[in-house]
Amino acid sequence: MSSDLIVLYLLNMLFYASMLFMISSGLNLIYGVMRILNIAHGAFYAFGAYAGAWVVSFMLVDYYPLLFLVFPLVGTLAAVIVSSMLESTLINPVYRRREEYQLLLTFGILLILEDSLKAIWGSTPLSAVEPFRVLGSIEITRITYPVYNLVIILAGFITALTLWIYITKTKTGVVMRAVASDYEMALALGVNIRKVYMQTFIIASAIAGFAGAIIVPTSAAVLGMSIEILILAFVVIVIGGLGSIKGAFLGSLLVGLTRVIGVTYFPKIELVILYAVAAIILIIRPRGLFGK
Amino acid sequence: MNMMLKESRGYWGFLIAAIAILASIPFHSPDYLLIIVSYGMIYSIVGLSVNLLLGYGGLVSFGHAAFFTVGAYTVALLSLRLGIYSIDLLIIASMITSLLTALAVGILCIRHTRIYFMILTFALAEVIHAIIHRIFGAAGLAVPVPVSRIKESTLLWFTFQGVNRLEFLRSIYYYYLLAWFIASVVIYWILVNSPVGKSLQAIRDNEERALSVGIPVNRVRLFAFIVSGMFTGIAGALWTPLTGLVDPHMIHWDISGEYVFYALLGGVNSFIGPIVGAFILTSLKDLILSATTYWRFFLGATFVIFVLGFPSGVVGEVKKLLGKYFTPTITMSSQITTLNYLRNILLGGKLHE
Repeated sequence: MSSDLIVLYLLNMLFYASMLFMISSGLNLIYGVMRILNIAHGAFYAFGAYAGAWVVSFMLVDYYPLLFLVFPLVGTLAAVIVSSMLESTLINPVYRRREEYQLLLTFGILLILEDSLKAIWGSTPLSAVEPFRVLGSIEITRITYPVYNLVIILAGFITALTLWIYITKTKTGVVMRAVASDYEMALALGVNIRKVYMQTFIIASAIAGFAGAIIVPTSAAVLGMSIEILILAFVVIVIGGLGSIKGAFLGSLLVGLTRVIGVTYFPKIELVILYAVAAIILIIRPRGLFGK
Repeated sequence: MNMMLKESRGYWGFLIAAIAILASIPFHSPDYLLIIVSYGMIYSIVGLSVNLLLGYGGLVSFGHAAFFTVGAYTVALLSLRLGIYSIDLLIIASMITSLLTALAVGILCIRHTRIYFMILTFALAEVIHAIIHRIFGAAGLAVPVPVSRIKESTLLWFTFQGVNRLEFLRSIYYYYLLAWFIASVVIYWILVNSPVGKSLQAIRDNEERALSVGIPVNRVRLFAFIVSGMFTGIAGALWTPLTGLVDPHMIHWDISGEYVFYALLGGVNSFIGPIVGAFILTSLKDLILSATTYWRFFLGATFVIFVLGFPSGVVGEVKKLLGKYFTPTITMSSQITTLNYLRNILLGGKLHE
């Protein structure tokens, strides 16, 4: 195997990993603070993707490069609006219920949102190749690689860095961590739990919406994309450990690596390998690599 | 225990009436009702199986579609590849394959509880899904029993050749389903009231205490998991001659979610809850699918309304309502009753093991 191929695989791995991180970090953030596995999370990603693709379809990026900043923002905004409406009305009442009810409720919300997407944008795939095309590709050690994929890798790392700074250095982040580690003590100290929950949920959904919008130019917005990405994100958080951002980070890298190896060498059983790896890790370390 | 006995006494009249109604269906009902009731009975077996783990064992399995599919694929493959056209034999074979699958999955899962158990069953079901998808293709397999014109299919002492599936259902298969349905209900009823069933409930309520009174926690859980998986496989096998097509989508996780929903919709704290849930959801789905293409929306809305509006399930809510108007109920935490009962039978020497 030549070194060029290694570079290519490495870039592909980072590409998958940053995509997965932007979904799974939100899932883990929500689980870490609220102890709820939010199945509807994938739908916010899909909402971001559809909104982003919709904006791109009437954008003139050839003339105004600054417009590049618009469609990720619109995607983020769409996810924020939908999630803030849902959190305060439907999800808030089940925080203290048993898991199966929480799963069922968020699963129901996922189904509702999937059909809302179908009602708003129809069932034909929405593609948005414009930003991908405009940026073209560059040569990295004799291989050509799309610049846009590098943008996504960068976005993933910036998200990780921002999230890390937010939850370790800012006051709201510290309060969020306090609620995550001891709910009752935080309540006793006068933390406004309701506000923290809402904040966490919206931040997580915003990341998902941003991810959807920024990834949509490389593929297309299709129905069923929410469930597809959700299953991959599940594998990531299972491997990394529920509720841990560090787990989501390393889990994404591991799943990215497994996928690249799977797609290259065993394309027929790529998914089997992924689930088998997840199952083996769970059997050996039931809480995942970084679960508490 | 007291409440359990009282509940069982109240059941008799209801039970006989229900069986009479079910048995009379082929005589007077139109085709669509016959089909819905048949599916309702099959999914009731699944619902009871899921609830053995969920309601009595406190374990949420998100992978039961795997056992259903293994049962269904066993029927399809044995009839297609090996030419076995005896439906009884096919169902017994499915029983064995789903039992083995449940054993394999169960050994890996039962040591985990709560969300980890859920994710593990989910992941392993996806592994089985990917394997089936890979080996037998995405298009699925058409099942020749009992419609084949070339070879005779047998069911008990009846033979069929080139028969339409609906005629087949109306002639005898419906009663065959009914018999399996009643048998499953009876077996589950006996099981949940047996020492093993009581041990399972004790483990659900307090694992450490159960362990300290000498219950082999993992063995009881594994046993429950295997029984649950096996009956789900039987349901899958019974389902197959009716639809005639098996495909890998049957094992998809939203189907497993629906199975969990049978139990939750009906009420996990009641024995008949999952049966009620399965019948309601089967007919509701049929209704929604025939009315609109946005069935996901309505199904999702049903889930949401149910979770927020009927926290203890349909049967639970009805009981609460009846309790409010008829008898003042003395509620006792089930943990205390179950453990007391268990201690009595352990110390009283009634448990032969």
